[in-house]
Amino acid sequence: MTDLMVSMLALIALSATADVQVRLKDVAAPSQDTETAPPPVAINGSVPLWEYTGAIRDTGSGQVGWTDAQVAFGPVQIGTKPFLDLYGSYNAELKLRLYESERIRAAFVFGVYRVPTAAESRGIGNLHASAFANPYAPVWLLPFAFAKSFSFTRTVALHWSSTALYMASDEAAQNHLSFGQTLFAEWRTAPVWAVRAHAGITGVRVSPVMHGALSFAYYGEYVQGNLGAGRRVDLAGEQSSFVMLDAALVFQ
Amino acid sequence: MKTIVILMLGLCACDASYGGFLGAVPVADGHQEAPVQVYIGMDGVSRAAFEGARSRGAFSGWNDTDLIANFPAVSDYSWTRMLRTGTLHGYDLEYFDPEKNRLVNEGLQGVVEHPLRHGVLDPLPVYRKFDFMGDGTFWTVRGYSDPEASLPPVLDEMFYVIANRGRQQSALLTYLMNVDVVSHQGGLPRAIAMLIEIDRRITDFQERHPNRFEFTFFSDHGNAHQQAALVDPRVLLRQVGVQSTDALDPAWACWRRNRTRFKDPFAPMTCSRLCQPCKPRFPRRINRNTRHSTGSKKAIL
Repeated sequence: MTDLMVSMLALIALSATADVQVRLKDVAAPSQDTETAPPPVAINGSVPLWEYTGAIRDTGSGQVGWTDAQVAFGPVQIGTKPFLDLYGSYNAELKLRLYESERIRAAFVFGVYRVPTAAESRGIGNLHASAFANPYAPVWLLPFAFAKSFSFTRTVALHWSSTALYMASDEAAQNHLSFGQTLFAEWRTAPVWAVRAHAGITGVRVSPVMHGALSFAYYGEYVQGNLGAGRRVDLAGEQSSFVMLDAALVFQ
Repeated sequence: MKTIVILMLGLCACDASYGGFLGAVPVADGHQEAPVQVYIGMDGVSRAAFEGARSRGAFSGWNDTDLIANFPAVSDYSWTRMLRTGTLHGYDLEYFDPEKNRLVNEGLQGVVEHPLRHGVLDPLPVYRKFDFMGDGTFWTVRGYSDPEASLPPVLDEMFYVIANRGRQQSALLTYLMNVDVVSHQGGLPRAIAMLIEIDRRITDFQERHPNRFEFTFFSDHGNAHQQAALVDPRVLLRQVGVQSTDALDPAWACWRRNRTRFKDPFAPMTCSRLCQPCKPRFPRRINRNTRHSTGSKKAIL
């Protein structure tokens, strides 16, 4: 939990800096008519591999951040997760818009991750031991998700993601197909702030794990970020905590 | 300065993202019937604390044996020797550098260095050997500030790692710091209480995973209950027949003047030209003796 507090301080400092910059530049409010534009919803989920939203960015816009760097062209959005690239897990993600209306959005998401051998030993220090370890061979992760987003009001949205995750490796035990369902509710308490609740079950058919989490998001015009913490529980009752963190510069 | 602080905070937090990603990858059970050996390196458990916990019903059915501590019986050195992970510059993080002819990491710097090398950004090699070390970037801070309060989340994370990595590994090595800290801060009674709680959690875990995990715990030293006292090593050395000296000269001066010829300062040497023949004597290493027993639960103290 101390991790979370420290991360929150960093995020607040970052967002405060951004706000000052925005004020100095005397940037006007977004040009779109807020009464007629589709309600704003999150573009990215916060639980890696399993949580996605049905929304993609407008053409030509994108973000460069810790968790996601992406840009959209029409109905297609491409991106990567920079923090994983820094750790040697090179990855790419393709998101394809299927449907968009004022209340409902849907998209397919396809990702490719190459997790290097002994990825568990690449952390800073030895302080976030993970359940996963691949000491003998690299592992390919191929998530394929059908993501749906429902805007109930202009401030409340629900994101539902159905994901199939295929793992491939020279290690026989690392070859399998698993499934997951996640729900991600978002409540915009202010134009730039949101409270989000996350829940889901992942790894079905291999090692099912349920999770629940709470996060807070900041959607500034140039800086966006979110921060939260959650808990995983497997079917035997073993529990683990995790932190969700992102900070990004946005370009329109 | 503000930027540096923000960057440091971000650095501390970023590893959590990586841990969160790896934690989201499902782990298949690669050997469903095979037993998994779990070795818990429990810091600072004394025989007295173990017997105290046993007298109150904990660790029943465990086999136990004694382990003679290394000299000096401090954690970094002991774990490094026990797990055969190279050498330290000296007996501890504070050491004498002959090239600089001064102590390194002396005083407060050594105190600050200890938690950093113990597991934060740049741990000693021995601490990277553990499959599980701590439950987050600030686990040492939490562990030292309130060892009892930090124990449940540490055990939660440790058992989560054991349960999942045990699906593919036949042996696991984990580390637990809290008993050592509570022994230093609260003495024997609090150490006993913590050991009872750890035994309860291990028993609960084994009931959730019947016939799957076999536990052995071992410790690096058991002197954490001793009151701090200054020890003059010269007296101790004399008692075992080793002569000591307050300064390294003339032997050391001889080596320093000829260090291009004599790379190893600890090897007996003769300097015929620049000084009188000199043969510095150093105490032999004290060997560790262990005795092992058989059984599914073992404590080596």
